[in-house]
Amino acid sequence: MSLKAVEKTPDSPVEPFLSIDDPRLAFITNKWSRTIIQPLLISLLITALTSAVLVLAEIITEDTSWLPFSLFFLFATLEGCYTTLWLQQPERRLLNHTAYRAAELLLLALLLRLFTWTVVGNWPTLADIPDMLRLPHLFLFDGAFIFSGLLTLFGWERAISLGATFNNLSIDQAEVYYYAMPPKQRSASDKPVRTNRGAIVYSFFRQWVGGALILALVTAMCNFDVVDVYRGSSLALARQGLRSELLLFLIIYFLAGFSLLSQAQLAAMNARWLINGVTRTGHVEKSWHRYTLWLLGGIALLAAFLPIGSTFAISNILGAMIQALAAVATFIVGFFSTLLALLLSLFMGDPAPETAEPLLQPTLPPMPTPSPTAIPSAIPPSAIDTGLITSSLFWAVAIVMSVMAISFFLRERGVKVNTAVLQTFWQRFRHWLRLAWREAGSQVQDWQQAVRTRLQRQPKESEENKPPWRFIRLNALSPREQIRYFYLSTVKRASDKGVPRQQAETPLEFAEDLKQQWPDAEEDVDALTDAFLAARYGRSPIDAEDVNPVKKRWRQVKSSLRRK
Amino acid sequence: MGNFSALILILLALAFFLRVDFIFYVIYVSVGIYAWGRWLMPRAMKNLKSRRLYDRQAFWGEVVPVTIELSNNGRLPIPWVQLQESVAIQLKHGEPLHQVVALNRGETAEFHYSVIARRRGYYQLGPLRLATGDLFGIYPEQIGFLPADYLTVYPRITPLTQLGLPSRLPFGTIASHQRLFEDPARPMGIRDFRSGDSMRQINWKASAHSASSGDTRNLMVKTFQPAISLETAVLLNLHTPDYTFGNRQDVAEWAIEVAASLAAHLVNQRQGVGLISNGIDPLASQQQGFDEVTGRLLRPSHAEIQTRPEAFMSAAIPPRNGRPHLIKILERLARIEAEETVTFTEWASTACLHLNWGVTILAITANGSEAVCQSLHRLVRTGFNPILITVEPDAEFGLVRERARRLGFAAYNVARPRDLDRWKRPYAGAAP
Repeated sequence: MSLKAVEKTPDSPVEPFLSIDDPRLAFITNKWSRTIIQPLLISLLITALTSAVLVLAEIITEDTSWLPFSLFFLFATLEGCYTTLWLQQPERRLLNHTAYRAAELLLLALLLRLFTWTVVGNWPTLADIPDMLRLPHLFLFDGAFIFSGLLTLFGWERAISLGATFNNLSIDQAEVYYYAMPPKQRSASDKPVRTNRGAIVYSFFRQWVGGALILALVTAMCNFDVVDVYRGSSLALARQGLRSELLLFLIIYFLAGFSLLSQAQLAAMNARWLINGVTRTGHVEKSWHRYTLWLLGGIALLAAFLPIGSTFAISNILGAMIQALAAVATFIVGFFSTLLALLLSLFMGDPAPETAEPLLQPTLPPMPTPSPTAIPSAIPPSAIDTGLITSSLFWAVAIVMSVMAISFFLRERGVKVNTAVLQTFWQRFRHWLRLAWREAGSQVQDWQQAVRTRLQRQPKESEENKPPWRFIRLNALSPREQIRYFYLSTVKRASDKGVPRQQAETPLEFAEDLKQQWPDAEEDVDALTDAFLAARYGRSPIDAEDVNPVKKRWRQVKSSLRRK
Repeated sequence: MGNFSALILILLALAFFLRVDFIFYVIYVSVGIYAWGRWLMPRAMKNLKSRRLYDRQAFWGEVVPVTIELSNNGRLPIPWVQLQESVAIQLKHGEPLHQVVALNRGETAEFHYSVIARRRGYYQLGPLRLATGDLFGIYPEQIGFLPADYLTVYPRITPLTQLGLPSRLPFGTIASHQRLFEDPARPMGIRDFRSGDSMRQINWKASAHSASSGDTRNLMVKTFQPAISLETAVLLNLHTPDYTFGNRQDVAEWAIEVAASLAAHLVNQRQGVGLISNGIDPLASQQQGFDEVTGRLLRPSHAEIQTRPEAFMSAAIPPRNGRPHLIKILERLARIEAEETVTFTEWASTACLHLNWGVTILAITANGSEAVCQSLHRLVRTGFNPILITVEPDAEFGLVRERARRLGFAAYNVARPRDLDRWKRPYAGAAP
């Protein structure tokens, strides 16, 4: 190129870069499909799937407050789809997608929390707030919230995935730019990478069928009286008719799936036409949508009038086939195993004598701590203050993160926040925080007072307030407490085996009872009882080495108890 | 979509195993959609009617608009039809026809494109490939074709004003300077009577008028425009060995253009023109094919031609006048191809046997070799009026012209388009 030509280049009119939303390209980028029809269908599809689970939850819990969550699922999936579309725009390439998704998820969680309180009707009162501040898990660990949260997360993730699938199917800006140019002006370096749209359509189909499998499982579970199954009466399996809501969700799922399949096909065809330089004339897209609607509607309506048969016979046939296959497989495996065993027996000598079954380390059952004086002493009073600080820290971090997430989410969407209103809220929040802090301080003082009082109480009084069941880490206990634990666990096991310790019974008297029931464990019971008496009432120090013989005796007693 | 069936079967098996009766509804809808596609798609293609509307002949350089009509004669709409017209590269003009359209029931769509006639020939237009499919991609696409049509591009015609070719046939329509061929049907004026004038040429009205003016001795006689009849046969030599190897193809093309120009001029002069050539007409072959790149009609193989050259040689077109006859000649010239068939000397005498006595023969050949001149001399002696037109550049063409003059016919060298200029000038006398 000559110098003159180079100099002229800046002055020459530059071909304006065509945006994907340019009205001139609307006929190949199917904007209506991408922005309206596809997100709506995806949301309906996923909402139908998750809502079917809600129906199952209603049947299991015999509670009718689950279905309103469908509305939130619809909102969450729509939001997920539109955010996916929004994030895929070239202007958002520099935006941190992970952070934005995290902010979006946090916002959804907050909204779901509010929605759950509204639907269930258990809005926290002012009196609950201190408890929530102290114990943050009360805010989060709510059955309805967790269950609906998991379903929302699933639906939201599916919406994002399907949204991305359809986004990949549609024509992107690079393709529009390259293929809209006359062939002679195209540069090979600008050629976009070919997308295998057939594979993407197939991927969507697989996802859809996968969802259908889940739906079939849910429907099957709804078909049976799950409550009866849960109660253990397996013979009471009774077929139930489908609930109208479930029927509606099933129909929506399959019709939305077929519609999306048609949409995917249209997107793939659009791309093919663009790449092959096919000019679209007339109203192909409009006609496509209209025709799909009429066809699906017509066939769905017609199918509704056709008789629904019973799968009973087919199920039995399938069951019989599977049983036959299993029998054949079992026979083959058994046959070859026998052959192998016979073969091995030729090379091996007499069988080894049967060894005693090794003593299994039992898992510790949840035990009530019988001695209330020892357990509270394990928790120093200063731990209460630490818990409060931790919960406060949690709330502070949670609130800051929530505010940051919401502001990030809204700011990137172009929503301007009125700072005056924010400042007002901030003042109120500070005031509320101050009050809460004072309240918490007074609570701490109360607790401290209560702990001091409890420490000064008589053991008799303490026994009345049994602490809750809890797991005990044996190695964390002192030698004296370990020996006491061995004895008390033996008392508990004996009680479970039908030899309870009476209120007025002394350890020696109870030892006699045990020896009567388990005469072979006589020595062990005596040794364990003596050790317990020394630990409970003795003043001499007990070393760690003294624990192991007692532990051995305890295991022997435990083994004897288990054998009966 | 082959794996779709497997996935559907898995779903069905699971649903049957779990005894979900609703699966029947899903089966009905799925089967309905599949059956609809399977039933509709072949019928949709069958109900698609298409035709191509265009002028089947084109002059050189002409842009030919082509219209394709696509009708859905079925009772159901067709969601999409993709149509792609195959057009030869040499005919391409503007954007090719490659479109997709949706057709409602009974709807007819028209598509327009144009081709340009850049080179003479017999070209194929199409076929038009039609493709349609279902809305879900479940059923394979249906493909249909509108068979190809043909376009004849005439050779380039250079407009000529006058040739000044000699003729031995009186009472024609071409003006001549030879008084021998005065045509009584073409009165030109009056003059004074001279001794020897025929009494039948006296213009009695003009004589009486001059007598009334006082001069009673002057008789006036009618004068007539001399005219000749130029019944002509174009004898086009396309035997390739007669042409110089280097630019054989171009010179042969030029010879055809000269023949077309002469024929067009003579028909415009209301003279009868015929065409006799030893080139081949590919359409005469039993197996016709078209070049995929150029779109032109393919000629038979050389070996095939050598076995029976006369079978492929174009049949002679006897001299006739009128535009339909000219079209016939031009169509033949559009298809004709140079080939090694029969040498001019062997072929010329026999080719002219069926012509009338005195017919002017425009022998267009590569050069004026002695053998060619001898052949034309034989035609002179047979009673024809041959004129030699050579189309290859010849620095020593004066010798050829002199040889031709001695043998009793005229010779011209038309090696370049500008050599035709002498016949483009307004009528100013006999040709050189």
